[in-house]
Amino acid sequence: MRRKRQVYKVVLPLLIAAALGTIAVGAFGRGGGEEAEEPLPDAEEGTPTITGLTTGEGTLRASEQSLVIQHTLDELADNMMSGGPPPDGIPSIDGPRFVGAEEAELDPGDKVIGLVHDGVVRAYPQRILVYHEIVNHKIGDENVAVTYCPLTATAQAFKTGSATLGVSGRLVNSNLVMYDRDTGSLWPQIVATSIAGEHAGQALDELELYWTTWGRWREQYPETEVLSFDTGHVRDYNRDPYGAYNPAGGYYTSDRTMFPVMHEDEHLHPKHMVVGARTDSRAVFFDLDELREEGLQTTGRFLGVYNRSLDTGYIYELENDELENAADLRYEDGLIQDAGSGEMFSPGELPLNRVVAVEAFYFAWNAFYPESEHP
Amino acid sequence: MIEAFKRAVRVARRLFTVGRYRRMVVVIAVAYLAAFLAALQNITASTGPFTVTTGDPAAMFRRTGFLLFDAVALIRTPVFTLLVSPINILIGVVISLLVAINLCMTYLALRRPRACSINRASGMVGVLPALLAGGACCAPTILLILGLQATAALIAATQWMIPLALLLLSGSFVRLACDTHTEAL
Repeated sequence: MRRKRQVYKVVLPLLIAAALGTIAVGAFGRGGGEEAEEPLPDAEEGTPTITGLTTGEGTLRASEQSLVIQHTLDELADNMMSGGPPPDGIPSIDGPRFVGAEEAELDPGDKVIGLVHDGVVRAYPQRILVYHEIVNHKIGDENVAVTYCPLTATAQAFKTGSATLGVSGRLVNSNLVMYDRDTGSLWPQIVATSIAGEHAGQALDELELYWTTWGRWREQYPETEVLSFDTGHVRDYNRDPYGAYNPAGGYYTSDRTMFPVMHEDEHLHPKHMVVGARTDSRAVFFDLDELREEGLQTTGRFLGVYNRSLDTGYIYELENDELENAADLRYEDGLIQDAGSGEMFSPGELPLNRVVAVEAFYFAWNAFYPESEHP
Repeated sequence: MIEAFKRAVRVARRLFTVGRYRRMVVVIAVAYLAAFLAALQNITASTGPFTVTTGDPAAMFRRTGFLLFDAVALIRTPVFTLLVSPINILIGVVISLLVAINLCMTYLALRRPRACSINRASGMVGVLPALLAGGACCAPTILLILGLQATAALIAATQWMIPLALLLLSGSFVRLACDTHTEAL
């Protein structure tokens, strides 16, 4: 009995001391949650934007082109808020491994994010990216970050020079705010434009990704590589914390959004999928259901084309002299026919200026680009 | 203050040395620990064969949230999946013991008023906050469950739930101990 008492006498204070120590580490360690509401410095003051960011790693290469934004940088920065995790609390995958299609333990209905770039064909399972949001790796001679935001259902890839991107823990319009590990500038994913830090106002060069299912992707690209579940992190990749896509449910289909948005309307269900694009002066979106039904749609300046094999859309920007020709295009059995010349084209290979298309929940696209054109 | 702490230790020791109280404390603590880890999404329902996956042990110190830490192993059973995050478990054990002791003393106040002359609701203080601390990647779990929309204040509040729980539970425990006659337990 005395021995037991001695054990309690030792164990109880130890537990209390351990808890207090943990609180100290948690509260004062790197990237604490309480710094989340620090005001951002003015863009021209440069970094640091928020504390706890890793900086000085590599050199970020921003794009020479800008992308239209339909709010000011300050408005976007002012509407940014913490989602809870500290910087890199959602860890990016920085040393990804890939396996062959035959080794991938995926159901044909599982969502994947597809990439075709520089001879590389890869699929990134949504089940993995929901826990990491960013995969940094080198393709060709520079780094490419494949990014995914579960709350806005957006998958976008960026060329980042020799730098990498991390998850800042902030959100704007529910959208992932990334930071570059070179300067610590903050980059909301959808606008692909820095809203604070040394690169404020500059955009990133984008690559097109495809939001599709494993079955469709594998059929189209049987030689594809697939991001391995061996990510170097321990996560339950069989479980999506927000809901499910196969079949769809939970957050992904509910009419609720989790964070405030800068603009909203009832034109479409908040989680309805749209295919959007932006250039340096305009933004556009196409309702994916309508595009699927009609095959081809136009707005004043853009042409949307349905890709039947991947169940997604391509978007082309039309120059003045192309507007009339676009009226001659017909969608037939998954292909595009030019009624004038009789030529047939696959949806992704029209002789027009194709721009990077991004699939997104309607509420998110609408929040960032409230003045978007649409059919 | 020191006297109050000593008294709390004496009461805790007494609870652990009397068999029926010890059993009560252990059962409540284990149940609360499971609820706490479920709230953090470290325990989730699952199916399938028994598997164990391990990762880098150093990840245990990597923060995934305010006072939340990364997992170093995943144990999948046919019934549940446990993400083994040693520091989350340690925090959970401390909070669970405090909850169990508080609830046990509240029970004593109901059953043996002579031993414990306290406000019967006192021991319930602090039971809830720790269960609101969990996060699902980008957002606090409570937003998913209740369908609430986040505000900066709500996000900040959820981040302080664990320290708040520890503070409330420790405070109520010391206060309860001061109103308890150890010898009558």
